[in-house]
Parts: sequence; structure tokens; C-alpha cells
Amino acid sequence: MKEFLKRPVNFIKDTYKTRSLQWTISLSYMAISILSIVAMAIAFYTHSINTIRSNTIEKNEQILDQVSLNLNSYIRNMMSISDTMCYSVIKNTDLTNEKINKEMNLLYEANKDNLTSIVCATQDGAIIAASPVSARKPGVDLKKEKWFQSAFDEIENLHFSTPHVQNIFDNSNYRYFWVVSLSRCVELTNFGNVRNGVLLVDMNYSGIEQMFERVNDQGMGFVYLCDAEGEIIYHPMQKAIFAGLVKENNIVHAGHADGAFSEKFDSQERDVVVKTVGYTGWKIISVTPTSELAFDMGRMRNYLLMVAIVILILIVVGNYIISYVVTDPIRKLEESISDLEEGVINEDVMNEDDIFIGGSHEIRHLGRTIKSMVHQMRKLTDDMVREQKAKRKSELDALQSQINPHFLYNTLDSVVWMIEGERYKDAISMVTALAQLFRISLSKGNNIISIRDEIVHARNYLNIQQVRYKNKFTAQIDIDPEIENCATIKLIVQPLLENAIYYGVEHMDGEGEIKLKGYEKDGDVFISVSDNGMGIPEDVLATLLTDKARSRGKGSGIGLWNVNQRIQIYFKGDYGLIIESELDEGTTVTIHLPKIPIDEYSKEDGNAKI
Amino acid sequence: MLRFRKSRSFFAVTLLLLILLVIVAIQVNNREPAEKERKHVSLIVYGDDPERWENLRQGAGLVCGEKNADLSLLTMLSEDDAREQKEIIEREIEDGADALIIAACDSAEIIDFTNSQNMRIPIALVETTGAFSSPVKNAPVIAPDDYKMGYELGESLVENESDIVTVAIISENTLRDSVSLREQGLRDAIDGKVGKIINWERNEHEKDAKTRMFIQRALVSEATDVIVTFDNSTTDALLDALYNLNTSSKVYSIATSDKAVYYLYGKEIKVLVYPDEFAMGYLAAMNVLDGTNVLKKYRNTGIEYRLVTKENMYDEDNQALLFPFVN
Repeated sequence: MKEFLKRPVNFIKDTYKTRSLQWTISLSYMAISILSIVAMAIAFYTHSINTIRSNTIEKNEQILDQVSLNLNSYIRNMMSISDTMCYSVIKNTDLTNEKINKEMNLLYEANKDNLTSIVCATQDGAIIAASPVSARKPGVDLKKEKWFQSAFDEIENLHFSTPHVQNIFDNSNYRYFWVVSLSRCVELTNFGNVRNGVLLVDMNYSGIEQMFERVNDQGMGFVYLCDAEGEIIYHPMQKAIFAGLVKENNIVHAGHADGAFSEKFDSQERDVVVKTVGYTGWKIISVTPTSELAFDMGRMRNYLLMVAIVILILIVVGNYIISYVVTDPIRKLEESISDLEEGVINEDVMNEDDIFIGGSHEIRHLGRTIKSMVHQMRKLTDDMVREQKAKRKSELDALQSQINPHFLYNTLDSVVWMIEGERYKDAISMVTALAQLFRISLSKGNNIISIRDEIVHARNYLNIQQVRYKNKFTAQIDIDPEIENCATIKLIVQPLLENAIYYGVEHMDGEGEIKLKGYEKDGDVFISVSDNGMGIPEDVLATLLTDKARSRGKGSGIGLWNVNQRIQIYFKGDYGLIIESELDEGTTVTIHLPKIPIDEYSKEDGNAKI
Repeated sequence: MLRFRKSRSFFAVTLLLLILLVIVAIQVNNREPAEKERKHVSLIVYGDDPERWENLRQGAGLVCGEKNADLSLLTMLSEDDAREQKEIIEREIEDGADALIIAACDSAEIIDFTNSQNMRIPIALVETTGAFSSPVKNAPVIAPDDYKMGYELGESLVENESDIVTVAIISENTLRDSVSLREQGLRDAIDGKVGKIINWERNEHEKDAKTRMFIQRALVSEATDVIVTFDNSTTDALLDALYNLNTSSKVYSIATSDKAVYYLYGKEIKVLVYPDEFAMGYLAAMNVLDGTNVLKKYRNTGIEYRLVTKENMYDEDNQALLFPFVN
């Protein structure tokens, strides 16, 4: 069970974590609202149903009170007839000489709407008097009748029978009467002797029937009457019950004390109210099947459903608006922060002014704080960039300043060497070339120049060195015109030539060859300087471009390291020097540069004059 | 895109709730206590005495009252005029009756007629119909076991009378299957167990005569100890004939008329078999108005009947059957 619940709970948790704020607020709010509405509707519905039921029961109790009143009145009327006959007529009459027919007829005539007959009989079953006067059916033995027997059971009491067909008198036209018999034991005086007899008052059953029919014509459910043992006296479905077509829980109802209760009978929920009728012990029972309340219940249910749906619609709309108003500023703020995260701000597409500030006070405050933070960050970043650029420039300047004295030293050394050898023309030529070389070196202060200028500079340098070394080596320059307009850092070829001369061909007595070659490959520019000198040992080669080369001091590769560092500072990535050497074969140092036209490079602000 | 999806969900939920609201509103409106259409049930019976059908009418009336329907009892001018009964059925259908309960005066004719009409309203047939002819289509038959009733009546006759007794059987209205079955049952029960069985039937001159006249002629012309009848009109006619001739005889009868009950006490009728026509009417009406199948058990042979004598006619169970409540 725990495992079974764990999955959906986790699913809900995960869903909540991954969903938007608006979704979370909407769903939570709606779930709470629906639960509240459902709980409220159930409570209200239950209460209403109970109210409907209790109202029905109350109404039925009132009806029962009224029926009971009428029935009591009816019964008391019959009892008073019996009492009058008993105490005012029979008891005061000696039947030897007097008759009671006259008084009996008077009473009958006065009450004949409710009466079928009045009969006075001896305890042997002989009829002394009867009203109305009719022929007695032959063969009827009164002593066998229930009402007769019960009169002698408790002689002080009045006895009420259940409805039956009166069968004492013959009736023309095949008529018969359903009656409820009220019988009692009376004292009959004959010759001064008192003997017991029976006084029978047959109440017209239709009087009771009509009384209940009137009640059953109004309201819900039905009312019926039974005696204390549960024998049905009146029931709207009486004949159907006798025929076994319909069932009634009359025995159980008769055993109930007065009041209301619910029951399930014959697969039907019913509300029952019981009321006992005074002297007789009869029970008036009101039965209301719950299904008859179903219409009211159904109406109530539908009404509640409609109200619930209207409230839900209002909640959904309100929920949407409120959650939108609350979360939209947060969402916008989140979007602007997402843009920042994506680095848009770094590319100047967005600045801190694009950060959303709106919505409630708290969100505005949050927006302003983030904006201020971004502003601070941006300022710090700018400062850092600026500092980095300055640092790079100072570092380049430092490197540059290392090259110039180095070259100047070597060249002046050559000039000194020529003058000492009285080669004044060569010295003049060299100094002139040096002047040209310095002019290019200056390059109006630009560190980035075209390859064409750099090659001119290299050629001047070779000229100087060829004069100095009395053409101990030959130099070939082969530059692809396609790359002449590409950008390069100035004074990066000359140190390579210098190394090729000093460490490659200086001692080769005219057999030395230096080749300067420029070409494009795979979209990049390559400038190589090759010599056919003695090559570089592997251990030296491995350290040429490392910091060790720098620390070795004069003439031991500092130029190469310097050039490599400059290229990498400028162009980063995989650019720089490639050195290939084989002992006794020669060395090739290749400059690898990106192919960037000098015009294009010059346009990039901040990079041209570092 | 996300906002569009959210809006779409919002409008979908709102639209769904609105549709639900409309459905509930329509349902509420439909459930308003509009005056229910009252159905009309026609109870078409044979004979010209409506009181003879009081029990049946009360049973059907009880259901109609509960089901908000009107009930009309339609009698005929005669006992066995099938043409007239067919006309009444046609007229009731044309007049818009919602259901018919028919006590057929001529079983075969009425079955053929109802079967051929392809009726679209529910019909129930009371009293056995279709025992000797084509079966009834799409209509329940609600009746007691007529053969058994006749047989039990015969058994009581054999039990009460000596084995040399002469029994006259009045064969009237045998076009009704119920009567034929009752007679058949009785004959099977008494065959060989009584002295003599004679059949009282109309001769050629008496075909149009009143039943009472033909019985009077038979009473005068042929001596018998016991007379047996199988239906109300014949029983009543026999009792009238006996009264007119100021004679008496032992009558064994299957009937439900007030006169039969009255004469049961007056000794003319020795044994009366009394079927519960109230239940027949009740169940027939339930069938045509409710269409419920729970009443199937009462079809054909399920209706209760009682063998009543003078001695037990006022027993609690019997008096409720024999004496309908009449206000």
C-alpha cells in the first residue's frame, strides 16, 4: 500500500518541482477550492436532505395527529352510542315486559351515517333487539363470531374487531357491508334476574376508509391503520396485500412505540411514523418511501451542482487572472535573467536596462536589486576586460622591447664588423637597409602590419646579413601574392632569419641556403624560414619554445620564444611557431597565422593598436 | 508558446465547466414537476354487466391510480360477439388508448385479431386465451389455471356427492378458452366417478334465446342432482332459472358474481370456485403500464383461486376475496 501510494505522491512532488509558478499556484488554488466546494456541497446536501426528511416526518406527524383526532372522535362517538345503549337503555330495562327497540332505533337513526347495525344478543346468541330491523340469516351462530367471543374475554372492556363482512342479517340485492364491530358484555335483566349478554355496534367501515383515503390523497407516502397485533384495518393497498401482491411491514410497525424511525423493507428505504390511537390500541402508521423524496433530493442535488459549477467557473477565471497578475512579473523577470544567463548581455544585445521591473512591490524590489547587481557585474567585467587588455599590451610592449635591442645589437655588430674590415660601401648599404628596416619597424606605432611589409622588412634584413656574411648563403623569397595583404604581427620573420643565419648557414662557406616561403593552407597563412644548416639536436628542439629557451640567455632561442609568445597572445588558439629540424639536413621554422586581411583587422576597434 | 498553451487550457476548462452547467441546467429544467402525461388504459371485457368486473376493475384501478393513468371499463352488449369486441378494440386504439387490457369473448377470434393488428401499444389479456388456438404474440396472458380449477371443482363434487349422482354440465360460452378448460378439467375429474353426466346445450331453436330460458327448459325437461356451470353469466342465469322455477338443485360453479356469492350462503351453490380477479386486474395493469417482467410468474396459470363453501365463505382470507371493498 505504501509503495502503491509512493509513486503518485512522488509524481505529484516531481510535477510540482518542474512546473511553473503560475501552474503551481493555479493548480493548488483550484485543488483547494474544489475540495472546499465539494466538502461544503456534501455538508449542505446532507443537511438539506436531513431537513427535507425531518420536515416530511414532521408533516406526517401532523397528519397523523389530525387523523388520530378524527379517528378518536369517530371511535368515541361509537363508544358513546354503546355506552348510551348499555347504561341508559339496557341497564334500566327489564326485558320481561319492556322492549329496547325504540331507543335502539333512535340511536341508530341519529348515527346511521356511521353505523351499519346495533344488535343486542343474549349469551346464548339469541338476538333480543336489532336496528335496523332485518331478517336474520338462517344458520348464523353468533357465538362463533369473534366479536361475540371477545366480548366475554374481558367483560369490563369494549372490544374492537378488525374489518369483516357483517353476516348476521340477510340483505336484498346481494348487498354486503364491511364493518368494524364494537362489542361489549352487558347485563340483561329478565324477571329481575341479571344475565350477561352482548351489545354489538357495527361501525361502517367505509367511514374509516374514507377518512384515510382523504389523508392519502394529499402529501407523500401513505397512511394506514392496524390494530395492536398488526392486523391491517385500513391500507390503501389492502386488497393487493391480501392477494399477496404487495407486502407491508405491519407486524413490525405495530410493535413500535410512537415516534418516527427509518427502515428498509422490501428493498425500499422508508421513513415511518407511528401513532397509537387512544382506547383501541390501534396504530396509525405513516410510511414515506425515501424514493418519493428523491425528486426533492434530486432538485437539491442539481441545484447544488449548478452552484458548485458557477463557483468553479468563477474560481477558474479568478484563479487565472490572479495567478497571471502575480506570476507574470516574476515570469518576465525570470525571462530577462535567462537572457542574461545566455550571455546576451555580454554581446551588448541587452544591458541592465532590459531587466524587467514591474508587478508588486516585492517583485519590483527584486528586479531593481538584480538590475543593480547586473550593473555592478557589468562594471566589474568591463574593468576586468580593460585590465586584461592593458596587461596584454604591456606584456607585448615588453616583448617588443626585447626584440628591438636584440636585433639592433646584431646589426650594429655586423656594421662594426664591416667597418673593421674597411668595407665601407657595405657598411653604408647596411646602415641604409637598417634605416629602412627601422622605418618599417616603427609602422606608425602599429604592431599589426601586412605580410607584404613584413616581407619587405625581412628582405632588408637579409640584404644586411648577406652583406655582413659576404654572401656565404643564398636566400630565396617566395611569397604567395594571395597572402600579401593578410595581417601579421610585425617583426616575426626577421628573428627566424636571424636564427637561420646564425645557427644554420653562418659557417657553410657559400653553400648555405635560406628559403623564405609564404603560402596559404587550410584557410590559414603559413610563413616558413628554412635553412640547410646542421639542424638542431632533439633535446634542444624540445625546449626551444618553452620558458627554458628564455632563460638560456643570448642567442639561444630567445627570439623564437618571443615570436611564439607574441603570436599566441594576439591570435590565441593553435597559432604560433612550428619547428622542424634534422641534424645535418637543416631546420624549418614555420609561422602559423590566421588568414585575416589587414583592412578587416584594422577595422576591429581596440585590436589594431595594442 | 507557453502562455498560449496556458490560455488554451484555461479556456478549455472554462468551456468544459460551462457545458457542464448547461447540461445540469437542462436536466434541472427537465426534472421540474411538469404535469405528467396521463395515460389512458382501456379495460375491454365481454358481457353487459360492469359490476361483474368490479374486482378486476379495482385491481387495475389501484395500479392506474399509482401510475397516474385513467382506466375505462368497456363492456359489450352481449357475451360472445367477437365482432363487437373487435370494433371496441379498434375504436379504443383510434381514440388514443395507451394500453389495453382485454378479456376476450372469443379467444381464437380475438387472438387472430390482435396478432394481425401489429399493435404498438401494450396489451394484456386476462383469462386464459390461446389454449386452443394460435398463441398470443407480444401480450402477456394473466389468468388462473382454468383446467385445474375445473378439475378441483370436479374433485369436490366427487367427494361431496354419491357415486350415483347425475351431473348436468351446462356448456355455454365455450368460445372462451377459460370456459373450455374449466369444463375439460371437471370432466376429467368426475369421469367414471359419478352416476351420469348429461350435457345441457342449446338446441337449434334456442340459439338466440337467453341463457336463462334455455336452462329453464333443460331444468324442466331433464332431472338432475347436480348442475355445474363455469362462468358468471351462466351461473347467474342458472340461479335465476332456479328461482323462477322455484326449484332447487346442487350447483357447483366457477364464478365471481355477487349473485353467486349470495346464493352460496343461500345453499343453492354448494361449492364455488372463485378466482382472484383483483390480482388479475392488478397484474394486467402493471404489465401494460410498467412493462415489468417480475410479474411473469403470474402469467398463464399463476392467479390464485379458492374453493369456497357456505361454511368457509366468511373466513378472513375468503371474505377479502369474495367481498370487494365498495364505498
